[in-house]
Amino acid sequence: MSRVSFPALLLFSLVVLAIISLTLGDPKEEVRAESSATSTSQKFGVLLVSHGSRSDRWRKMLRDVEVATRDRILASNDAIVVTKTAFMEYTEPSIATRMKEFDAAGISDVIVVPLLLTVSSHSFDDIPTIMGQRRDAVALETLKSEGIEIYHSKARVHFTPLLDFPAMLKDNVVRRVEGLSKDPKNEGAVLVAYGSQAYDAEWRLLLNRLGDVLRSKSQIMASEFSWCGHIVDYETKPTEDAIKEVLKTKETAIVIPILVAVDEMFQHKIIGGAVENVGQPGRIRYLPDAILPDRSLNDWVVEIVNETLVKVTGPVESR
Amino acid sequence: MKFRKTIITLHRDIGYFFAGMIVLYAISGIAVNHIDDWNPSFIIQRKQIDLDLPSDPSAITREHVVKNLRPLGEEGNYKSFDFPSSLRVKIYLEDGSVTGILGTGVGEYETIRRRPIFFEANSLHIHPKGWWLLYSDIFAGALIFITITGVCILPGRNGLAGRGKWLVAAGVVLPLLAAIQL
Repeated sequence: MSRVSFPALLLFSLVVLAIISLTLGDPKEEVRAESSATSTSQKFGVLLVSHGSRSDRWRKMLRDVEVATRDRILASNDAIVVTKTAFMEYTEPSIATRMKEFDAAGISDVIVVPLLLTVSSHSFDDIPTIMGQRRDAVALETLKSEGIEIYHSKARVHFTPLLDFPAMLKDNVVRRVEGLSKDPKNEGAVLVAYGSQAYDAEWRLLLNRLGDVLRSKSQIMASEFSWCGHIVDYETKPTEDAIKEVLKTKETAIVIPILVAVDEMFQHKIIGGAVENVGQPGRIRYLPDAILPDRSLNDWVVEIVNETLVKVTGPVESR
Repeated sequence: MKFRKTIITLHRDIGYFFAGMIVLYAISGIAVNHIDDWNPSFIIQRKQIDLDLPSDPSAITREHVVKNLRPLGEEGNYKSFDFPSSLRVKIYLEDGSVTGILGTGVGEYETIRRRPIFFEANSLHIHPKGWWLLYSDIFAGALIFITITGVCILPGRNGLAGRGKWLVAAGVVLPLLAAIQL
């Protein structure tokens, strides 16, 4: 047997090691592959949740958001296989109905986009309680007594932020005010929102910030806000008072509903009623419109879904 | 005469059978009519309390929270706490919650309990489900039957053909007026 030199043995060992290493592959690559296998086993659904209303028009405006965003959301990532819309109360499809459908379809994770203006009992307690994600005693009891079904889904639930966070809302309000504005220096804005008893401080903060945005982005320096929802017993008077307050210092009041969609009761009966009751039609400009429709909101929905997906799964290659 | 006797018997017996339910639904109806003035199903109590919590949300611990629950006798009912917004903390209890505005020391203690009898009556009345929905429909049909047989029981001048028709007409006029007015 001939003798093999040490350097030759070392070289041979290194070559064998390299071949083994190449055959087995990069350990990091293996982890990535495993992680990819995990993520492909996750099937995501997207649920656009809104308050719900008896108004057909209101519900259509919310459904239109799903229609406008569905293809883009589905195209943005293989993991997302379905998008749906649910209403918290009044009409089907309810949240429970949709979550049952997701479970039946084998969806492992649901990204919930609450199409609600800002924090409220609905966003923080009711919707998570309906989905079995929270056990708030008051929400649990009152939802049950209102006949709203609580459903503990098998799918994991991931909530996105509310509408108040992005610049989208600010731009929306500025655009709508400017659409009605003719002589900004002599005009003031009245922003009318639903309001919340439990989260009054947060709602006031949001409306004050929107007033600040108007001052900085448009030439309209005066603004007031009022509530039109349960907190004021759906009365017109708070809005009348806010309009009168603006008219004390400005020639014209521009009234803007800070409501997600158009519900005849709010935009026509309450806010429209307040405009009529003030009785100075020449000095008030009002369109019974809403935040929707807004392409930027649709873009925001697509973006926030993808951001949430990345948070849940880590960065995933887009299609 | 035999037909009238059968009607009287059915009216009486069906009336007996549904007597409890009629009273229960009537009470529930009155309770829900005044929903703007009170909560007909729950007793929700709220009271202002002082809270001693750090103003920085990230500094708030379970110990801080439980310490604040002791004066309320609720430390055993603590479930969790969370932050609805940057301004606020919410502490979840078995039958209620405590909400605090961060940095102010101001809190609200809220408890909920079912209003005895009314909760059950309202649940049955307002959101019938399953077999109770069918039973409620039968009950509604029975009310119609009891009413029709009731107006037909007495013959003569005190019956439907006599003063009865005027009273029935008067009873119909009021809801008609209300409907027109609304």
